[in-house]
Amino acid sequence: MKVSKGYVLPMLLIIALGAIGFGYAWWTEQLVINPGTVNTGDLNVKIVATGTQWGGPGMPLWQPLYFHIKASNVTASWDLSKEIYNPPCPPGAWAGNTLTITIGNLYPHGYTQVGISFPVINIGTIPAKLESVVLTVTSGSELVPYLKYYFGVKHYSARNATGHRTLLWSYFTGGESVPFKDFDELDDELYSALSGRVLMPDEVFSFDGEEGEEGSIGFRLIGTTPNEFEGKSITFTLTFNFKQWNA
Amino acid sequence: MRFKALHVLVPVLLAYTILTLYKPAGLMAYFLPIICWGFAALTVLWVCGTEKIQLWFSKTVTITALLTATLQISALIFAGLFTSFGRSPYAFTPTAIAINTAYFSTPIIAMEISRATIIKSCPKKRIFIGIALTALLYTFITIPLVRFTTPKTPAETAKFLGSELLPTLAQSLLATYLALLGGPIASIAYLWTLKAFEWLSPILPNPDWTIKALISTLIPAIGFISASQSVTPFTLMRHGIITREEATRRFHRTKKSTSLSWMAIAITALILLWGSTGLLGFQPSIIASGSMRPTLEVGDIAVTVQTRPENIKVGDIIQYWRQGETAPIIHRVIQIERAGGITYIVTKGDANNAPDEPITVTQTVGKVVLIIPKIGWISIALKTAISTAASYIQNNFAVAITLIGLASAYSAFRIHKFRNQPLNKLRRRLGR
Repeated sequence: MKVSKGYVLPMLLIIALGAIGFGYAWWTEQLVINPGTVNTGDLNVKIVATGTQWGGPGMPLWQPLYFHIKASNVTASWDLSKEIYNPPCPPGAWAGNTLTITIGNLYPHGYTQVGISFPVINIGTIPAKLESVVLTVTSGSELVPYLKYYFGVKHYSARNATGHRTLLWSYFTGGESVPFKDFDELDDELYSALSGRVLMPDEVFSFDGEEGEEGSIGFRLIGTTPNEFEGKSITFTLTFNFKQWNA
Repeated sequence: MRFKALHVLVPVLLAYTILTLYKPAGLMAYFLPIICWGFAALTVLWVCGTEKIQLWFSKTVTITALLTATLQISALIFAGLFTSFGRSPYAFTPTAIAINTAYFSTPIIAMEISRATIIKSCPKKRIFIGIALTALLYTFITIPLVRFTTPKTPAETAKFLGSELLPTLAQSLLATYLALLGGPIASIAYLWTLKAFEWLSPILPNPDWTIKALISTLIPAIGFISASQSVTPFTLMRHGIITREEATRRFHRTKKSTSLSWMAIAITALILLWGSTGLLGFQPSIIASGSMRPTLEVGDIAVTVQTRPENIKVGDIIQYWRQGETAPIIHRVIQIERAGGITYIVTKGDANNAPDEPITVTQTVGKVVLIIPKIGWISIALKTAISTAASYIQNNFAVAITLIGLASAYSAFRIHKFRNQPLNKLRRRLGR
């Protein structure tokens, strides 16, 4: 009895400290409360930076075009003008839930087209569903009116006993035959396409198709882009926030 | 008894194997783990028996376990104050809370009863090996297999080891130790409190993985020492942790705070070390020039906190890197301009006549939020002394070697004399 009394005071102090910190975190406007959800051990959906990407037709080969993928702590970059026809594939690496994409040295004449491919995997233990997709342009926002996109995404099952996945569903905004869409609508369309899907543990939303096929995100600078934008670059982030699925 | 340990291990391994091989869809994704772990929990409870659990129960150890869990949660919240918080990804409807509570509680109950039975049946002579192996086994059961099997870069492997494997192992070690001293209720009290906070709190601290790893490894280590302190030396002796001689020595020792003092020193040293590297979200820097006089004097310490670029305003003192420089610069912002989609910041030292070359926001480290006067002189004096000694050794190598040799010889002589002192005294007393 004597020992337990001795523990009551420090325990109360620690609980009080925790409560004060928590209350402060809840109410203050000074404190950083991210709009996104926190990844935990059981609910954990990650983008995997695979490094497969492509440069589209119509891009003059002499035109240097570079492309960066930066996902949280993992940074990978390639010079597409050199590696486009023989792309290296660095080993897969868990990244965060945000991709930072830089499309640089854009060439307004004809059209310049680049694509990015990446899978989003549920490495947690419980089902997840998309809560929001946030598109933020960090630099080069003046290019937004001239930038178009299309994307295709495939939903694959968890690996079976032999390590293979089954295609469960796919979505495609359109490629060559369908006009590209306005860049600032990308996050809305990604969300509306994926929000109804439940991503079970080990399942994948894959943006990993070949050029022009289902399963990738492609960007194009339209041919009517004014000449003053030649050589400019645009950097933006795509954040995928997931939450628990509970029917 | 060891046969019983095998019996409690089988249901746990069976539940783990079923859930690793079979991944059901829909609501069964929740119900199958609850059913499997619930069945495992009931089986191990039946094998172990409630009387045993009551017999093993220790109120002091359980309170220590609760305190350790609360301390760990408080430390994470405290770290969140310096970094960020985020919304919980879990659902909070009454049904979801009920399902989630069952989902995270059943494996803890099953695993902790089996853990306690296994560690209690371990031979006393090999108790430390038993703790280590049991902790390892339950670490591998806790972390999903997919985290181990996915190919990773060296950086990602380091992150996995630091952020997942090591903290889980530290928590598993503590849980095993608590189960040994206070039975399954003590280890359940520790692990369940941590899980309950993670699953039931609407806002969660979201510090960098480095800080999470530090807290999740350091606090269990503190819990380990606290658990040892919370029981009598003879209890530790009974479990094979210490010898009879050590128990008797500890029982008669008047100064109880030795390990606590070492713990305090170790924690302070770790926090200072991590703090100085900037891993805790703030970075102390020693002012080495007078360009910011009178605000910052040489020898002051400026504490910088990582700041979003949009929160930097004219008048703020910021820290930034300039290309080609070997150390960051701390100057005041006098102008912020935006051109061609890029934000440029112009800074100037308070004592300087001219502004610096403009920098971009990507070069900034953060904003200075605290100035500690003069403390940095200790570091400057130490650095000066070390560099003076180093340059002296470089310039007078032969003299330095002779001095070091003489000092070593004198030390060896003193040690030899000290070691023989009791023997000499005894010889004198015996008249020899």
